Amino acid sequence: MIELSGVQKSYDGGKSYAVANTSFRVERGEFLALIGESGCGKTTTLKMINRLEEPSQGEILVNGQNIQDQNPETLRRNIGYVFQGIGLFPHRSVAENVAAVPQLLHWDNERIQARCEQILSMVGLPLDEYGDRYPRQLSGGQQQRVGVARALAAESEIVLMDEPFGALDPITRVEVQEEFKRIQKELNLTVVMVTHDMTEALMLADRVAVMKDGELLQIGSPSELLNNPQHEYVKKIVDMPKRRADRLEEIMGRNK
Amino acid sequence: MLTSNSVLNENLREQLILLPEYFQGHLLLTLSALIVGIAISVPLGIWASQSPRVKQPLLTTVSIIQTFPSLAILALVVALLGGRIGFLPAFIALTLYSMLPIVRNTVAGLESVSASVIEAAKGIGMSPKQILSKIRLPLAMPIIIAGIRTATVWTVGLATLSTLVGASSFGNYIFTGIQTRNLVAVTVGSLASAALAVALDSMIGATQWLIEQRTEGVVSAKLKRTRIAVGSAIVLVFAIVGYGLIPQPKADFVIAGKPFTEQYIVAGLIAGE
Repeated sequence: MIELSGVQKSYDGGKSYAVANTSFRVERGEFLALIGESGCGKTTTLKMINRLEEPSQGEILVNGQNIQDQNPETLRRNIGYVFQGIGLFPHRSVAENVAAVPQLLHWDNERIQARCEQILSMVGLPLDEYGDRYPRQLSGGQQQRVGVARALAAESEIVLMDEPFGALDPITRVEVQEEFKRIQKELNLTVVMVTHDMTEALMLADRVAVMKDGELLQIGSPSELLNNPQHEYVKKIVDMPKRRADRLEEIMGRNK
Repeated sequence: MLTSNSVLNENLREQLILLPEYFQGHLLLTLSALIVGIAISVPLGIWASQSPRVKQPLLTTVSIIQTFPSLAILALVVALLGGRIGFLPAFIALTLYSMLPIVRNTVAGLESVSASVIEAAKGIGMSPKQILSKIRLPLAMPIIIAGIRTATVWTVGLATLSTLVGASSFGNYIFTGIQTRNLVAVTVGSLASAALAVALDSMIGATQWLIEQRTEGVVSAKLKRTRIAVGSAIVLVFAIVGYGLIPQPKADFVIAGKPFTEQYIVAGLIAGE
């Protein structure tokens, strides 16, 4: 469970706000997408949850505990983190990448080995076949699967994702998205994902939060946003996938 | 023809008798300057890469040291030590001279690690120290080692100059040879110095290659054979280096002469050669 109340972030002492007065709650097992244009404050909001950024004001609770009372490194080890850059360690094998957080948590080797085997088979890269490979020997999609496996390795039930599928080609993207959605349901993960792709947000998330210029405009389930947009911008951005689908159908129909 | 040949052989034999002594002097000087140079320069580079305030002044300082002619550095160090000659001034000058490539490459190597890898390391909960020791330093290592190799080649070459301040090295061959018009001595000294530079450089390169080759999945028979060959070559060079470092009877005092023929003769007489 993640809860933000009255969170603000300013880089210039209050003259302007990257994130202004934002409050929302993500329940255990819920998938929330933060969506908006670049610079709207969605990534800053995400990074405040694992203290890669510190809020200027407000309070963030993770599993009922104020994150300001926790050591940032301990907090991050208990929260999975996946992002567009993937950021696999190029000098470490797939297995060593996945074992990184369990090692930081001082798990014993048997437990790490067992967990690597389990989590790698879950993302479709069996340890026996892929464990000894290096990131550069993998395709983009495989690399991001390892990225997901690394984020989940320490049995964290909270995962933060910063445009995780943005760097993948369209076909691989859909594959990895669907696979992640399946894993998320299976492990009942709490996920906050930043994206600028409305289709992705609508397909994956239980609820979508729309941000613009540091403000949280509206938060709700995909159908709530589609049927009852409370803001002109929300209507525009939510309608986008549908408009594109309509346009596509029109083109296909004309070509029949 | 026969006489000139036997004179040459006699000369060469005379020169080669001196080889172990000069080899030991040269090797000891080079290795100690390099080891101390690495021990100072790598931490300085790490410090510089983490503090922009340190970085520019430090890089400028080591660059300025490098712009001094090497001979001038030697003379300055001797002067700073109150006219002391022998191993110490040569060692200090060589250490100073080895610093630039190592410091510069350490900084460049640490800065070359991609921001996304560092962000990931931070994001999964590594402390700044862990990011340095587990991520940045291992990834910077090839560039740092390249700097050490450059420093090695420079230092081996420069060590020949230390003859001028009374430290024994292959430079003894070269300077004596120039002054006494003994081309054989000059050639032996130059070749020995070049061979040592190549040997040390390839040894570092080979060690690095061996480390990088670990656990790359299936290993072909050819790669296995190459690995064994490289491994044995490293052991061989280590053995030679080890032999070179076995201490010979230690001198109670050091005799150096100015680089003119008469002084060589006088110094040689005093030293009882």
